Amino acid sequence: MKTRIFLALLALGIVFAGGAARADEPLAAGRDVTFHRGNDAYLHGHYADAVSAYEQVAALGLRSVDLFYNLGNAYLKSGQLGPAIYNYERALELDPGQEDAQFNLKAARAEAQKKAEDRLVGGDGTPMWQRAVAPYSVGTLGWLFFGLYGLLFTVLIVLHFVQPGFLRVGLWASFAFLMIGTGVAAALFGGRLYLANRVAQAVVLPDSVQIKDGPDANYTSSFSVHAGLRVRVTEKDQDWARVRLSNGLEGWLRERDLGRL
Amino acid sequence: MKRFSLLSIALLLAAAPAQAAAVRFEAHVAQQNLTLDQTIELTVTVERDGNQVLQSYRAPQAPDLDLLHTGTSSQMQMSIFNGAQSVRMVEEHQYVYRARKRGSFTIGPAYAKIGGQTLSTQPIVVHVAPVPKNGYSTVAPPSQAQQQMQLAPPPDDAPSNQDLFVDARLDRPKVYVGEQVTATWRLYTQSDILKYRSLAEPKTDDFWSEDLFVPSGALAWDRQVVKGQEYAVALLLKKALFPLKAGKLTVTPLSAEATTLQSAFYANASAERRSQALTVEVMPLPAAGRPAGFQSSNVGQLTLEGAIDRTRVKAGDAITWRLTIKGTGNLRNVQLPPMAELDGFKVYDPTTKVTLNPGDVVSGEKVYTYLLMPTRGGKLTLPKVELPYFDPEAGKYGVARTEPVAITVDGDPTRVEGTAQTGARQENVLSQQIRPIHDRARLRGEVGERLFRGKLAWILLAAPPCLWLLVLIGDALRRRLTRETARSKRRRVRRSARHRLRVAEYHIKASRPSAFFGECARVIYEHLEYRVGAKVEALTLAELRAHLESRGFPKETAEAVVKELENCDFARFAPSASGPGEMRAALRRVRLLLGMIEKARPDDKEVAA
Repeated sequence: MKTRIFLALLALGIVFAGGAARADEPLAAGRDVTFHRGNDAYLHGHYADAVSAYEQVAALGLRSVDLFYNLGNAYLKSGQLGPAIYNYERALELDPGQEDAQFNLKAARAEAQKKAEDRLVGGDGTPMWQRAVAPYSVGTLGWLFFGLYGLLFTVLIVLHFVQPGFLRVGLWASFAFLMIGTGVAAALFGGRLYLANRVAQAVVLPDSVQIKDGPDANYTSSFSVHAGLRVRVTEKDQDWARVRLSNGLEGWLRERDLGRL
Repeated sequence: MKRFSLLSIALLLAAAPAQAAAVRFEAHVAQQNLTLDQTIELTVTVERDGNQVLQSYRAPQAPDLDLLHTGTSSQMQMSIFNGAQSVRMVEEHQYVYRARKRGSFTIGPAYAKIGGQTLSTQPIVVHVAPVPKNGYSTVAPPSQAQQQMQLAPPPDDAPSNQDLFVDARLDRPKVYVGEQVTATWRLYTQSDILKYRSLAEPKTDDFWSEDLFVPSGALAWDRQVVKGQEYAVALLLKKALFPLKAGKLTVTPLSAEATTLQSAFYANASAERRSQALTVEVMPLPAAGRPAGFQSSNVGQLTLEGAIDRTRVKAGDAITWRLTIKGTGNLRNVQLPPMAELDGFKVYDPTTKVTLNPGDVVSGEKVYTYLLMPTRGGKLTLPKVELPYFDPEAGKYGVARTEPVAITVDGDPTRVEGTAQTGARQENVLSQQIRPIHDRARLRGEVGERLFRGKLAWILLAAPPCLWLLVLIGDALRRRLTRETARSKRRRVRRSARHRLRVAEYHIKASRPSAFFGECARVIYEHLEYRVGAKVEALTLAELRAHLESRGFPKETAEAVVKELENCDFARFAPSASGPGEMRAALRRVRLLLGMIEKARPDDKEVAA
């Protein structure tokens, strides 16, 4: 009887999951059509059209390496270096090992440096933990942590049924190592999640922006920054954002001049 | 040999100033007088020809100042001159300093080595004053631009009952379409201003507007007496306005918020002030005497100059023709008449460059640079160019013009084919390519992102410990359920007895007395074992009787048990003696006997033993 109830519930779950997947299908199909339209425009040299199509897909909230990478290419071909660097950075946030995005980001930064280069004087104020977790994506560290975490509890469950003996001793040793590994992975994953969700990072979009002393155009300009510079947003005031450079220098600029990562 | 040496020296002497002129290396700061809370912005500019190599560069030294930020920007300017490309490189090195203490500090020279020549900038002295207690910087003397803007006479219609107001002024009430009228907004206050910010800029929709002054830092203050009261006055905004149409045109008020320190005993007070709207009467341009080809944007006192880089060229080589409009007026908007087709030349679209002079009156120059390509040889002529304009000061039209220029083109007087390419250097720029786009059939989001950045992560986090707890609970339940109690043992034995008796009935129907009595004996033994808690089947019947009695079974029960077992043994080994009636009677007896065994109360201590 219990088995029958379980099977009925399983079947019901499969039906609901299938229904939900089917409901998502038209949206995904529309997304793909727009994405391919962007690709066609890009391949025919209509980069502005490609940007427009890719931005439409991005506006749907999809976070995809391919989408951000292609968008970066379209911006780069349009000569908009700030948005190009921003989108390559977004792609690398999702997959830090994406070689094409790394290559094109390097090319875009080299191009931007021909126009202007921000050389930050002073020690890098980025905390150590941020530098430790930044090279990995949330997905990579997530898989690592949850894999070890699942394995840890699997061993714990098996231990419950295993009689004393060599196997049980071996399992306890594995459990101890897994505890350490899971702890390290949890720290890395937690730090990466905090960095992604709480530490507001952004990229400067225009070729050159004056940084003001306060959240208004009438304030004095302290210094200027250029396209592609990575900054940290520490405060918001209406449409102004207070940013901090990695060497601790701070100032205000309009939020529209920033691409939030 | 001596002649050759002299010639070389002469050539070097001639070349040296040319080279020096080609390089610009200078430094300047945005503000030389400032307060401790302000930053010092230094810009070092290096401008050189593209073929000159910047061999080394040394940044300026300022040991008494903290360097906060450096930035570098570069710009490449390309131009085609005589068919050959020339490139100018402009590099700007920006430095932001902050003073640690008040005083005068020197920013040392920057050094650069360009084309073997070492250049240096002038040292710059900055004066740093302490931050004033009232919060705004008054130490900065007016900048050069501000010095040129003399204070207007005190406003007669100023509100006498206010210690803070914004005044707006026009320099003249009546102008022609396209003629400059200057609008100025000033802040008057009798209290110290802690903070000022503009809330609404004046709207100048009916004008072409040119900013003459926009505050880029702390306000600069001066003193002025208005209606017998002394005010601190600061220039907020100054615009040159060029009306686009005739009639009464209005500029909307400027709205600003100022935070004042009213007294030591009152809290800071913010006050919003609006200037008055400005109205100017704009006269249409006179129709009388308007020259042909006049464009309404050409209003001012204008002159036109033409210059050509050479008067003799080879067919196919390009000529640069510069037409410069100079004077006062809305120079950004001044336009040359469209260039007619020139006989013997292919004319490329011009580039324009506007350079304005600082000052209250908009003046400067606008340069049109045309690239001309002769399409045939012979004596060709660049015609005169005319620029009709209206002079508002004189109130009449005029025409500025250039003289015709004769050009000698060496080559076939018949049409030269392919002139656009002839002589022009082909450029093949090979730069680092970027990698191509990803053309995937289906666009997929990142699974890891979806899983681990949403609520699902919490579920994944809770699932393993929950599963572990479920396993622990399930196992504990299983143990509890499988543990045998007295009640469950009785149920089990009764169930077994029912089953065996049903089987026995089946044996009656099948006429199998041996099997029937075997089942009866087994059910009796099972019931006994349940009651006494030990195996009894191995005992002889006499031993069984004694054992049952010793365990507290009633004598008649023990006897009945032994008797029935004897009966079963006999019947099993002599089956022919038992018919169905005998078997049914035995079945009834066994049922009664099982009830008797259950009713017996054996000694518990013995059971436990």
